[in-house]
Amino acid sequence: MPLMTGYQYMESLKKLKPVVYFEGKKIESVVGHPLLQPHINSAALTYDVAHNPAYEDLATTTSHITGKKINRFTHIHQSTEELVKKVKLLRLIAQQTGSCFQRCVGFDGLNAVYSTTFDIDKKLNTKYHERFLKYLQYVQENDLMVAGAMTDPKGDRGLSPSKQADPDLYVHVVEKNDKGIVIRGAKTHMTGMVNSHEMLVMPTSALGEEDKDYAVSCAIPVDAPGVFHIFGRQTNDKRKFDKMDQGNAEYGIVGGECLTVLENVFVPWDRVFMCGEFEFTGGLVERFATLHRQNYGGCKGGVSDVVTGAAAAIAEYNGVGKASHIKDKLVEMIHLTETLYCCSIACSSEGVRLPSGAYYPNSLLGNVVKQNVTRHIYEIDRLCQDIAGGFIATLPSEKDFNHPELGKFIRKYYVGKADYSTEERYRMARLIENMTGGTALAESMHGAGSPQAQRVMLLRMGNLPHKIKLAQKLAGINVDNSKKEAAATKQE
Amino acid sequence: MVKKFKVGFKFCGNCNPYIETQQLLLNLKKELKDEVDLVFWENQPYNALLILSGCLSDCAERPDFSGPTIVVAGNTLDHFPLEEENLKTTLIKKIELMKSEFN
Ligand SMILES: Cc1cc2nc3c(=O)[nH]c(=O)nc-3n(C[C@H](O)[C@H](O)[C@H](O)COP(=O)(O)OP(=O)(O)OC[C@H]3O[C@@H](n4cnc5c(N)ncnc54)[C@H](O)[C@@H]3O)c2cc1C
Repeated sequence: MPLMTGYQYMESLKKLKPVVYFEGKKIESVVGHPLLQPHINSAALTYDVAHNPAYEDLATTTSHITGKKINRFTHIHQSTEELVKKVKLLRLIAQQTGSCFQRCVGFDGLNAVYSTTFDIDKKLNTKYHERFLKYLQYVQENDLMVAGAMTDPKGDRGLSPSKQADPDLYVHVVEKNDKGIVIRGAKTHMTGMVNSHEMLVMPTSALGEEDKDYAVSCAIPVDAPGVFHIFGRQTNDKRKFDKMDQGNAEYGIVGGECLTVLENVFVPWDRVFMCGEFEFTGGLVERFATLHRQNYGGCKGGVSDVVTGAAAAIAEYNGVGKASHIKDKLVEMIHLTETLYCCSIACSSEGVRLPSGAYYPNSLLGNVVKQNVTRHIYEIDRLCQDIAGGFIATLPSEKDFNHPELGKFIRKYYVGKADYSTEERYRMARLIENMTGGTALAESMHGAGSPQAQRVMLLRMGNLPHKIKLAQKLAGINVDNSKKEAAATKQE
Repeated sequence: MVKKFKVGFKFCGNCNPYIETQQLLLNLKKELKDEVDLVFWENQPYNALLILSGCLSDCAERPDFSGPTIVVAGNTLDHFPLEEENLKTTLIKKIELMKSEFN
């Protein structure tokens, strides 16, 4: 089905049998489970927007393989305009979910693997791209949700994969035969994995020849034999069994991450897109990282739109909506949000065409996007908490709010401006608590790479020699002359 | 029987809308229901195309259509700024004018 609805997506998940654990117990069905359902609702919106006339211009596009209308999350970008549309789509959905909707990771994985397999084949005469195209068509025609599985557990970060005490700390090939390969290891922080159809495995870092066995990219169904998932905890996750106390009961926070263990998983050759070509791992990781970092001004822009709206609303409920410092703080939140968005738009508009024909964001600017997110989201959330007041951290529970005797005291003592009910103030406070703390913040720091990963790229692509020349010219230093002088001094 | 005048509509993706284009369309449908059919842009043929963009960026992709096109982008109608309260009435007049020329 080329364009599933959210309902059809959920029905399709029911046909899968992923092995998922939480607190030692197996979750029999991901659909309908209180811990997982908010994340499923969030992902389902990526399907529903494709059917809504108001959003379909962003949410759908035309497949360059089949010419059919497809969900943009399964597409390979064909122009810089399409890169821009991706950012707008992410902002749109995040405004509605206030939370991660997970589907961008696989989207970026598909784009990174598409262009990399093309490059591998050109250089090594392999058949990876042809295989990948078939797989991509399968994903597009069935409108599948693909988890992007890059991050390995990594053990001692100072050691390369093959030097680790335990070889499984990075996913690696343990067997090759005429039918396919067998891989083992794990992938961590897997966003939306338990409610995806497929996972796209990619190496986590640039590898050398000694780490050849770790240079593997392939596609695996989330319920393939040998695969199991251990669902991660989130701050306040037991509140998913409540309603108001959750803050965002419909969509939760972040993406519902898990540890995915791959215990000798067989992958047939037609789903293998890299196997040993270590010299292409750096390029693949870099492409994925740039495509993923591009997103954050879109999705975190959308999330920050909600946080800013929540700050403005709570200020009004508290009776301070007109105070000048509050307005100034709201202005600062808008400024920071649009700064994030500007960078995402800029890196998209400045995108380039790769040899495969796919379009790719400007890498320097893409890294600036994510670097900004590691700071500005904290500042936006800090301002929101400042405006909201301490009760977002100390509110009594929903059960007490609804308690026959205690409830009236909560309504009495947590009242704000007379125009609004205590319940409105309570609900908004919970939304703010949920969106500005704990797990939500860590995602902005580490998702798509820790800050240092971007700084390495900024140094590499910041074109320092050019900047030095500019300064030398203005300082009146003739570089050629000073080189000659230095050479003459050496000879003396 | 005289065929009803048909207008295809297409929204931008509404990522950061300054005007409520969905509400605007509902109002148009209500007020023009006897005279004009407003249909989703994929349902060609139609006599005119209405682009409904939520902001001035007007990034709605244009379908293949060679007939007359009306563009709402934020508080503008065919690039001319308008007060939001006048947008609907001016737009209706424009569609009615097109319709009369068509007849
Ligand atoms: C909410 C969330 C969702 C995510 N979703 C996905 C997903 O869907 N798919 C996916 O593949 N990944 C995902 N990630 C993983 C994300 O890309 C990683 O968290 C990120 O790359 C950092 O890796 P790490 O968490 O192992 O931290 P670490 O690598 O341990 O980093 C911790 C610190 O150590 C530093 N450091 C690390 N290695 C070195 C070194 N060799 N030398 C010096 N300093 C070093 C880092 O710069 C950082 O400051 C997600 C992460 C989060 C938090």
